[in-house]
Amino acid sequence: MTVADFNRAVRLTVSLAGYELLTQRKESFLGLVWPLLQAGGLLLAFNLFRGGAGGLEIILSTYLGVLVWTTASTVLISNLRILPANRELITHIAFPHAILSVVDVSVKYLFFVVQVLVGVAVWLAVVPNEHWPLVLAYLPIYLLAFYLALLAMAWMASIIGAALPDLSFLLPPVLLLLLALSPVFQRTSEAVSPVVRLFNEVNPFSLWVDAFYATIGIAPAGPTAPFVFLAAALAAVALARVLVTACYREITKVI
Amino acid sequence: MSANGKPVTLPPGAIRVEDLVLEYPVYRHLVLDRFRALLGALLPWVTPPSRRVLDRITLSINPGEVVGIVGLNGVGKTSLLKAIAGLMSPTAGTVRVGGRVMALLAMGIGFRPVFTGRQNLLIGGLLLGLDTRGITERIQGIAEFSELGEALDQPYFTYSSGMRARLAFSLATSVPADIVILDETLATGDARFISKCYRRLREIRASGKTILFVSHNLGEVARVTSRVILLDRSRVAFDGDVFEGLKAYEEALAEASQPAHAFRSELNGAAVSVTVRDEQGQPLKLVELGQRVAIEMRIDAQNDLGESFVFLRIITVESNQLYAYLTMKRRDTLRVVSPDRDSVSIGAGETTITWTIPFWTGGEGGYFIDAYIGPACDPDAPDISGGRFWRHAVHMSSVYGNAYLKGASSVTEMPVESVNVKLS
Repeated sequence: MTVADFNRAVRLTVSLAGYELLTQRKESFLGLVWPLLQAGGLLLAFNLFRGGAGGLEIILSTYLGVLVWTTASTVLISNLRILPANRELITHIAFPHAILSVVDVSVKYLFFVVQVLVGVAVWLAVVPNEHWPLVLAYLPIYLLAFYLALLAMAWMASIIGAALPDLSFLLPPVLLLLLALSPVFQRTSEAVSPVVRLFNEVNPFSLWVDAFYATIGIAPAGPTAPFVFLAAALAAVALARVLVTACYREITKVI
Repeated sequence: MSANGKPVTLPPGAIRVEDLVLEYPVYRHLVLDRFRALLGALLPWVTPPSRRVLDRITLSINPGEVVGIVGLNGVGKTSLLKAIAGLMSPTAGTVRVGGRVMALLAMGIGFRPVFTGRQNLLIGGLLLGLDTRGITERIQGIAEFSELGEALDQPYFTYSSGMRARLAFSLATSVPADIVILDETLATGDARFISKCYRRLREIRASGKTILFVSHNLGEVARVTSRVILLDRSRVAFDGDVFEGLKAYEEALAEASQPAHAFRSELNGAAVSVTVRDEQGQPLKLVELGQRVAIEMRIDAQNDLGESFVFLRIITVESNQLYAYLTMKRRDTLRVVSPDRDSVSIGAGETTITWTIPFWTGGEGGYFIDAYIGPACDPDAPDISGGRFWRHAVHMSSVYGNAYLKGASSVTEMPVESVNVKLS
């Protein structure tokens, strides 16, 4: 890829993501206010269902965990279908196809960041945390790592989804079930069976939630968590890029 | 490659295709075979079954050439364009292009229904490789060319198909490119806009860009291109002169048409050819307004064909008829000049029928001269009456000849001084 190609890809990504946001704004009355409303609505819902004795700390941590999980799952589901959904574009216009996933991830990530910043701000305001400067320092590292991890997953999902379209039907209910069994709702590992515990230890979504909790000081994983996550995300992006480069060469012939 | 082993950079507008092979997966089970094809991209030892759509294609196109690519359906025309446009990676061989390629393979791809025409120009421009500044600079010109006026600020989903085509064509042909690829895209919009599209194409051609043009409309190909490449069974069957290329394509069409056998057998291997000659008897391919010409229809018959039906017509590339000769007294709409006989007796050997035109009335443009002979038949036969019959007859029968002339365009009836039949 030349510098000109890279510049074009960046410009295209930024512009298409902007237009994606514009589409969402145009197609609803409240438009981009929705991420904030969703954040508030979810907080309220968790307050109703999990509030009371657990207190605000539980509500907020659950909300933040759900944000990480649902962002990852929506990115996964939408990218399983992204190549067939853009068939006309891919087969008629020469442009770097990898951008499609980048745009999708960027838009969803932007909504995630808005909501997560609201949540973390409330978290730091109401839950006493003497290490708050560290939280603020580690949070950008986590957010960068999370973006890269989402991108790696999106690229791989685009190929896997084109090869195995049934996954887009199978995964949504499975992901919902896994969320219920994840560290978001099963904070103590004793609460779940050994099999589920083992699964949570290898399930990327659970790992990403754990890393997030460690970053903001909820989980005791330690301050290295966001750095380890970033290193793993970088490796995953590199691997995914190699895979999509090989597969996208053939993609116009098979979709 | 150069002598020192480094790849040679092509000049802008040049295309070099060497031994290009393109294969598509063969689908017996869509999902399973797609899975295998993608797996094959990652694992070289997985070789899914495939079919070859382009077979060792080698082409060299120089900057500024306007090349028409013709061929029957499914011979690989669009695949070749896609390979040149970089949309398909070759299975084997190489495709190199000099400069920027703009492929207009379909209209309005990437446009969003809820956006206005103006916003879609921005998105479309970005996808086609322009930056925001480049689009902004061109947007006024695009708006004027598309003639959408205030509709440009209305949502795209409110546009008619003609308006969509105008917007897309205006944008695509405004993108600076060294190579412009068009695939059957001019067959949209109203007649006036199509005419405007041709003017835009002529401007692109005049600016020295390379144009690749795929169409089944031979008139379009004849009017736009300066060279024709005929693809047949995934290979280049012809590469060269426009008229010869279109004739080769007509022959391929004739070969592919099944119902020809009746005519072929009845006419017993007769062949027809047309030559247009000037006053000195020299063959012409370029005719001047007012020029005196002779159209010579030559029939070579191995056996006595007996009383035969003869047809000759001069049409523009838009199929406007300037002259028609028909050896039958007819009552219907086809304008017939000199229906002086019901049939012509054609014996074994060579028969020449000459039409003398004292003053060529056609203007700038291309013309086809179609000639046909067939067994004499009832002029009231219902299958004679439609224009479709003639086109089919052309394709069906080996006893077909035509000539293509480039000249000047108008739709004026062609005066014919005399029609002479000479038997050898």
